[in-house]
Amino acid sequence: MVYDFAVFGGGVVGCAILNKLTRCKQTVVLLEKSLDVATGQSKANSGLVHAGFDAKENSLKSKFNVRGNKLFNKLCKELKVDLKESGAVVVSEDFETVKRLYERGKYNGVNGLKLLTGNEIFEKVPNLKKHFHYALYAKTAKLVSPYLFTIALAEEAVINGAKVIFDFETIKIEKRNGVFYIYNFNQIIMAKKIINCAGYGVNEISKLLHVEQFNLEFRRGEYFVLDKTASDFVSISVFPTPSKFGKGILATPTIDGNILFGPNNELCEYGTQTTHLGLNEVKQAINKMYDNVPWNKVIRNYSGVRVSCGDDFVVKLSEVDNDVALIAGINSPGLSSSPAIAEFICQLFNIDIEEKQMKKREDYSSIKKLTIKERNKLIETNPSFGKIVCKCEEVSEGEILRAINSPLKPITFDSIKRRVRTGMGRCQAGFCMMKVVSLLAKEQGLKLEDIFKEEKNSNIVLKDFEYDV
Amino acid sequence: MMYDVVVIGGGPSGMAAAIRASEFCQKVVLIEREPRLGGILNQCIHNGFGLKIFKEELTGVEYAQRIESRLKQQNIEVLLNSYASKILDHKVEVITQHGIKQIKAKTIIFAGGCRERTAGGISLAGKRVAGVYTAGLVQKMINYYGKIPGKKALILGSGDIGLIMARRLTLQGVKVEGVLEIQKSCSGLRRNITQCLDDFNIPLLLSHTIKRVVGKDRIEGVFISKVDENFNFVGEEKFVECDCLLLSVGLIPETEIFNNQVELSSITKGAVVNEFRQTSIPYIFSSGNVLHIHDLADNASIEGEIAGESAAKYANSKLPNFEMCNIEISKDISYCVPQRYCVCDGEFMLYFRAKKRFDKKKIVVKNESGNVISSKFYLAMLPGEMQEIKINKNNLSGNIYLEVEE
Ligand SMILES: Cc1cc2nc3c(=O)[nH]c(=O)nc-3n(C[C@H](O)[C@H](O)[C@H](O)COP(=O)(O)OP(=O)(O)OC[C@H]3O[C@@H](n4cnc5c(N)ncnc54)[C@H](O)[C@@H]3O)c2cc1C
Ligand SMILES: Cc1cc2nc3c(=O)[nH]c(=O)nc-3n(C[C@H](O)[C@H](O)[C@H](O)COP(=O)(O)OP(=O)(O)OC[C@H]3O[C@@H](n4cnc5c(N)ncnc54)[C@H](O)[C@@H]3O)c2cc1C
Repeated sequence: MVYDFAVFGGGVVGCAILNKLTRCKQTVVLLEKSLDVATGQSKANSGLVHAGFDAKENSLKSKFNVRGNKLFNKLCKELKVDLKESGAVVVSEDFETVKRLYERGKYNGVNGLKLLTGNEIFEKVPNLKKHFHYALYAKTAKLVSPYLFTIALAEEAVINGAKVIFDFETIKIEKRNGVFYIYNFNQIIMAKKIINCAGYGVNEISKLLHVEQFNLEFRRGEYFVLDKTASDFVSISVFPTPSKFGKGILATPTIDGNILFGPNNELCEYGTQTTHLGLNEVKQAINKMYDNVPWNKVIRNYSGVRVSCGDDFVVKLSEVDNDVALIAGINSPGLSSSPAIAEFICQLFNIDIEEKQMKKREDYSSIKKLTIKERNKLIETNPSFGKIVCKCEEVSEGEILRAINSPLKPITFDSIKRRVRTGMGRCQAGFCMMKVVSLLAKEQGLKLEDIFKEEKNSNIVLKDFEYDV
Repeated sequence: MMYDVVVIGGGPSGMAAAIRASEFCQKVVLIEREPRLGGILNQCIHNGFGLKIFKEELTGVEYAQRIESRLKQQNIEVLLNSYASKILDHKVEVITQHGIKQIKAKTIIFAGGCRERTAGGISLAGKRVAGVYTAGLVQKMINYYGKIPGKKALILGSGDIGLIMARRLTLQGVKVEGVLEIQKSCSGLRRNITQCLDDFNIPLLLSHTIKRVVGKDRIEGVFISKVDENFNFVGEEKFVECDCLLLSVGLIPETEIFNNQVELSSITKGAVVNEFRQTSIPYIFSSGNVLHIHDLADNASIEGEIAGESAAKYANSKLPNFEMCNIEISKDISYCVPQRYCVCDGEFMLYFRAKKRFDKKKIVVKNESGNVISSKFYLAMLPGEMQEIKINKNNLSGNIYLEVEE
């Protein structure tokens, strides 16, 4: 079959586009190099839907961010993804900075902005040091799980006819009679139009398409994750005043009840390692802003790499081939902007934006949200919902099995972790890793040593020398 | 139905608590998350267990089976595959395959064990790749699932589990490159250093740690470095190739179920208790690794017995609310358990750990007037080894002080 569209890259941008095009009655295939969606930037960020006061006036960033923020409410409801409008503050020692942001926000069309002083600030951020006299409060900043949101976008598309192919390494693209022939090692995919949103890999695809390539710059951001027992440290996302290099090192709750500290911003070669320098920078920045920092509650660190291309996003049709859309340099606020970018892509290709009736996806994220009565009913029909496997996050075997059999058919340990939070808690899978690996193996008829952590060849265990020959 | 004693956790401590409680009262229930009793011991196939209680050397699994067969002779209800999710007012919420229940309790003993400190917990830098695991997880991987984490291992931290796993991996054909310890001394038991490292020529590098982990999909190696007293890196970094890294960098009592209702010690991270292992909420007791980390399962069981007997007596209204005094420690001691004692006649064993190594020293316990009420001579005291000293409480009142005699 010839698809209307082939989308390269299953980050939040690719999945938002996949979803939108499917809603707009297009046939779409998403080609992703990794073994799941949301394995790039989209899994390693701050999980914030920004209000939009920070992006430069008249930029694509400001336009997409403000529009995207509005779209998130409806979209998350439809996708059954949790979204919490918990708000954000930018705190400052001088009035001018926050005033300037306030004006910019107004210009960008952000609602719910308010300037705060003195006690109003400390009521919102009790642990903040007392020399921050001024703040800008943005009501519409929201928390979302960036990977669950991405997964949900793809799942809804898939149950409504779209196709997602993982482990797709493109080796050649040819265009004949208006049709693109996309080759990997064992199949050919055909599509009329192409959307290249492969994040850090955008140039690989552009090169195969013989269209524009971009000057990319990589900037790493490192984080600490704190245990849920530290959740009262901040109840709102708190930013320092922004600098040339972005929004600064923040402290924020996550939608799941953890706390994040980070990210710093360092020029790097692409790679998601954490570093002593980077983590220390985050630590010092946080210690400078807050008292009573619960460092003993740190359960993990991670980093994400921003892919930048100049100051603004690039979202355009290729000048070489009008059947190709190019999306590059989607750094922050790319998560917040993703629904608006998808909308814009429809406009670029003149697609009728009337949406079809979509089948709803099942919310399998956590049964903890249910009442005890509802949970008991579920356990009665399937006792595995009463068998706790991951105790830190209280995840039952039933939920894990449900995730393994969910629409994208995830096969790796980390993809289950993103869906139901097994191993996200304070023991970091110390107790449950082998149980989850066993379930993954059993459901797929594989051996334990065949299960990957995230990427191909990231085998969690190996065959024993003696017993398995 | 109201239980006299609800025990959470079926490891060596919880089982012992349930057995002892059932000797003093009727309705005892033991709640265990796993499909079988035994706790951590189910993955300990090495020997070194039971010398204190059974006067013979058993494997962990044998030790657990011995206690379990005693338990079966008592009138104790056992709930397996049952996860105690909350402690509410005189109630325990339990998630089971038959639904979520609330179990009413006159008293509760929490003996849920500990978790291992993780790579995130020590802010290990570098790539978060496959092949980096806590030592206890690898123990389960090998002994329970018959798989290995890699073929060339490095171990960070000289905790007992790390030492035991150095030997276990070697026996399984995995090459162990060495054990790194950031401190100046090993934190595991002396017998484990001899039996697990020395006997297999596995190097122990003191004052060393890992700078960063490298690898693409699985770990390919680590950069290691020497550290000074303040754990700052000194000297040149060195690359060590390995395809798995085991962490044995500490155990943390899992007290989250208390939801900050009971007073916790900032040092042990477990509850603050009196000699009856009674917490700041009088009907809640605690024992085993969730109270403080035990080197020996026997000690976890002995502590369980104390908690079991006390809880049963409390359920029978035979444990009054005594006046309590503090047990204070000098700067040479890292902690003691119990941290309080009840003013009433009797005696109890005080457990403690020294902060650093002491050779040929006397430990003394003094009362408020500075008189020695108990003392004991130690040939050698290591931070990694728990010590004990008996305290006779007859006519004792007021705070008491534990110190190393100058
Ligand atoms: C530290 C940090 C913090 C951030 N915080 C926020 C925030 O709070 N709010 C916000 O709105 N934004 C934030 N962002 C930005 C946001 O995360 C990104 O803008 C967004 O995730 C970009 O999505 P994407 O789909 O473009 O990229 P990615 O998620 O990186 O997706 C690209 C995908 O393409 C795939 N790919 C690569 N090469 C190929 C190929 N050849 N063939 C097929 N597939 C390929 C990759 O595997 C990947 O899955 C942050 C970013 C970082 C790094
Ligand atoms: C690698 C290793 C080597 C060791 N070597 C020796 C040795 O050679 N000799 C020796 O004497 N000792 C040794 N020990 C020490 C000994 O095993 C421990 O001190 C002892 O097991 C602690 O007992 P416990 O009952 O407190 O905890 P655990 O054994 O951890 O048991 C706790 C139990 O509680 C259950 N649980 C926890 N929370 C809940 C809940 N909410 N609901 C229901 N159930 C719950 C858990 O599933 C578990 O079964 C070793 C320990 C390890 C890890």
